Amino acid sequence: MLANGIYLAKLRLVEPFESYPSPAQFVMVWVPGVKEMPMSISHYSCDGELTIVFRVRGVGTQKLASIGIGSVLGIRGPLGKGIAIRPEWKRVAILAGGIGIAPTPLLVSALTVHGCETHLFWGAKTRSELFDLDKIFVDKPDRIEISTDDGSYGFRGTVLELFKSVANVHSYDAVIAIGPNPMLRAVCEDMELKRIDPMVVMETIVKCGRGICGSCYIRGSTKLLCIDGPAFRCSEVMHHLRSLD
Amino acid sequence: MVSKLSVRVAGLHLEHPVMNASGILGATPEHIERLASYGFSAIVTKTITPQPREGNPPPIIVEIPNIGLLNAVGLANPGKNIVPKLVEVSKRLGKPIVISVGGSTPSEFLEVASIAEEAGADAIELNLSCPHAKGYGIEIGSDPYQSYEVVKTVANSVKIPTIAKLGLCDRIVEVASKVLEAGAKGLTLINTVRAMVIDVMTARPVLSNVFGGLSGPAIHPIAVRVVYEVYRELRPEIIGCGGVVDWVTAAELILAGARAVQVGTALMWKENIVYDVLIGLRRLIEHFGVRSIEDLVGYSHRV
Ligand SMILES: Cc1cc2nc3c(=O)[nH]c(=O)nc-3n(C[C@H](O)[C@H](O)[C@H](O)COP(=O)(O)OP(=O)(O)OC[C@H]3O[C@@H](n4cnc5c(N)ncnc54)[C@H](O)[C@@H]3O)c2cc1C
Ligand SMILES: Cc1cc2nc3c(=O)[nH]c(=O)nc-3n(C[C@H](O)[C@H](O)[C@H](O)COP(=O)(O)O)c2cc1C
Ligand code: FES
Repeated sequence: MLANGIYLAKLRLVEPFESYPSPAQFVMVWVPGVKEMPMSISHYSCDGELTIVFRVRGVGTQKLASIGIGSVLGIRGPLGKGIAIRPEWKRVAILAGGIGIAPTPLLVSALTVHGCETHLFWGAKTRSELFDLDKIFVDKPDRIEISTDDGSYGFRGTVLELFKSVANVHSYDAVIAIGPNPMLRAVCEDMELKRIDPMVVMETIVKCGRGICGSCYIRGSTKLLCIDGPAFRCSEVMHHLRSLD
Repeated sequence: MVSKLSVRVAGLHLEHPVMNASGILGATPEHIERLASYGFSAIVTKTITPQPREGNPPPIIVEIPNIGLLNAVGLANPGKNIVPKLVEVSKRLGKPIVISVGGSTPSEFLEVASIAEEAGADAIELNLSCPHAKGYGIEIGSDPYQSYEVVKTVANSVKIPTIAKLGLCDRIVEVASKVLEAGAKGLTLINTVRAMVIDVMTARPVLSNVFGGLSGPAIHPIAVRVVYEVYRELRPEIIGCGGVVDWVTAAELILAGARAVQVGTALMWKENIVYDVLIGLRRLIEHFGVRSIEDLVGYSHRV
């Protein structure tokens, strides 16, 4: 357990992935006899050790949190397209909301490998949902700023408010936001005014993960999250994010 | 060039013989738009039932390398009210649209079919063959008399063409004959085949539904046989479906007796499959020195 209701699991794959996963790619985790759930890849080492970080929400994640060491799970992946890192990115801002922190270690590592400076802004509801980031990061972000909605730790306010108060968006080559849909909508709407089109890593309901069942579709778009995402430009998903209330 | 590939099947005039198979997307306007972008000559929707259905919880698919795919989506769909919206997008994109209709009684089939007709759909495909939803599909479709009742109820009341989609069962020729007698203008052959996968490390069936439907390369020879046999016995208008992954697999179904083909599982690996198939079929027309693809329908029965 990393924090209240938040867990880290290290999984050893029987057969390593065919290719090294890209940031924001995910796997389907099967808890035998219970259900299969999409989970971001937090970290992966070439010998086949996969790390996931998850928050307990319902039956599936509850069960995942309670199974013992040595249990057998099923893993399908890596799935999704992942974020293609551009050579011209010298400095990138990552805004993570809550469990949106899960895919950031792989993202930070990939950016670091490309010689890119990474600034992480992490927001949670309250202090008990925070944990020591050293426990999940292999390569550390160059700058870390933290906020809580209730002010119980760090900056008081949302991660977007934090970002706006301590950083200048124009000093970044890219902004990548990961978190719950209302947060992503707020980020997209704010940046739209500044004529910036950030990248957002989203969630929709993923069932097949292979582009055939259609459950993960993005409203008002022909895109499917499981094969075209989960990372999109705000401009591609604005209609979807706005249609969720 | 285009006319060489154009076909008529069950009252539909198609630019070419490749349509999508029901259930690969096809449940929302957004899905229809994506399917249209793949180049299909007509769009077939996901099977729509009167009421919305959640479908099964994941795992709903298992990929079996080189063999195919096992699925138990469980007829997840938004219910009949979506039908006019699906028709509208398809019309806007200039594609004929076939509404796949599901139900557990003849009147449920009719409920959705009537809406489809009213909305301006081009045809209806009755799902008498889904192998993994209790009380639906093959549970009706393997019985010639129940199938007859469903098709008759629908074909008697709606004027747009009714296509019956049948699955693998012992009495397939008998069922086919009954549904044609009941007024079906065409047959789609076949649906997925009931199957299962067990995870050996945990000894558990993988699908939450235990049983699912097998599709892809594994069922292609079965589809070819069913199309061949039904064509030989009854000479109906057939849409072939099952394991089309390239032009050769599409051509086999046509030579066996299909006027058009549907592609499902292959989209998982190859979103541009339609063009591959069309290029191959054009060459086959030249190879046999015939005028058009229609001349090759059932050709294997004439050589
Ligand atoms: C691409 C992707 C990556 C994800 N990565 C992570 C991660 O790294 N860590 C993490 O904690 N969570 C992640 N999630 C969310 C995670 O999949 C859900 O929390 C989980 O499926 C909930 O299952 P449950 O049985 O515990 O809860 P349930 O009671 O089934 O549902 C609780 C809530 O979880 C969401 N949910 C349920 N089923 C699905 C589904 N099939 N797909 C997506 N969301 C669902 C819904 O919002 C639902 O209201 C990710 C989701 C996606 C789509
Ligand atoms: C994920 C999935 C969902 C399907 N859903 C439906 C459906 O709703 N209605 C239907 O008639 N057939 C459905 N089918 C069956 C296909 O339409 C088709 O008959 C079958 O998959 C064989 O073709 P293929 O080998 O090209 O996939 C589904 C198949 C798959 C793989
Ligand atoms: S989850 Fe099935 S299409 Fe994306």
